[in-house]
Amino acid sequence: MRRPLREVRDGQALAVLSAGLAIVRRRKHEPIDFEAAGKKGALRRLTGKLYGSKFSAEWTLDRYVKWITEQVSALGWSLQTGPIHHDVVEAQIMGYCQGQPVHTIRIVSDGRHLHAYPIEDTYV
Amino acid sequence: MSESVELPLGEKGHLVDPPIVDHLHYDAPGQRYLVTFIPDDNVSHNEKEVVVIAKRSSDGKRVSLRLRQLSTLFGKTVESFVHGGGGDFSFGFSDNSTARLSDGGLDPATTAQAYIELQDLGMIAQIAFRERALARSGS
Repeated sequence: MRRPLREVRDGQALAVLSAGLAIVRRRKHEPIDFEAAGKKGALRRLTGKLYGSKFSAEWTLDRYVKWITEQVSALGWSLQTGPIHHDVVEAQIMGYCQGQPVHTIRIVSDGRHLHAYPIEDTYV
Repeated sequence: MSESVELPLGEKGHLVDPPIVDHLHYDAPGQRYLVTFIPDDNVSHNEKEVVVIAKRSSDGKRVSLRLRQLSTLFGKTVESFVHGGGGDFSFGFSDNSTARLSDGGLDPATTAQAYIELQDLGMIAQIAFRERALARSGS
């Protein structure tokens, strides 16, 4: 039986795609209590470069794995692709970056491992 | 991911500043280190950059040395590690075990030494990244 995704340690593989790339867990980008962080005036710091941007609360690990799998399959990335990244802009808020709600997610591959995190919106 | 709702660790721990290694892994088939790092704002405003460092290169030898130092501190071979936000890092070892710097398994002096190695690794990654960027631009 498959181990529950929430038991996977930080930096370990949540799933390995058929193309050989591993989706790794990155806890620092997982949702936090945004309301509590906002009340403490800490949202900007806790979603900045040092603590990492955060996915919005709707993002479960299941959704994270399914979403990256779909995106990377469509992009056709494999072990032969090498380091690469791709940005996806969605209509709804995907997370928080530097204290601001954002709609853009960056998927990064170092050539073997995949992860994703919200980034600042660059469109106007 | 909504299972994790607590505030991140690190606020009471050691402060680290970019460049910080976000994810380092040795790719044995490719004989190279795959390094994702958080760059200093003066180098890149992106949250992360990626650099691949051949193990046999001078940068690769510097990375190997720091990983050996970290392995000595932990008493087992470090194969990979990730930044957990703030001053926290999670390590993966060759025996498939893992440890977090915030677990408190190391004494304060050893933890401080681990941070020195981690900061050096961040600097090595950033210099390698910048040298390649300069080479690409012909500077």
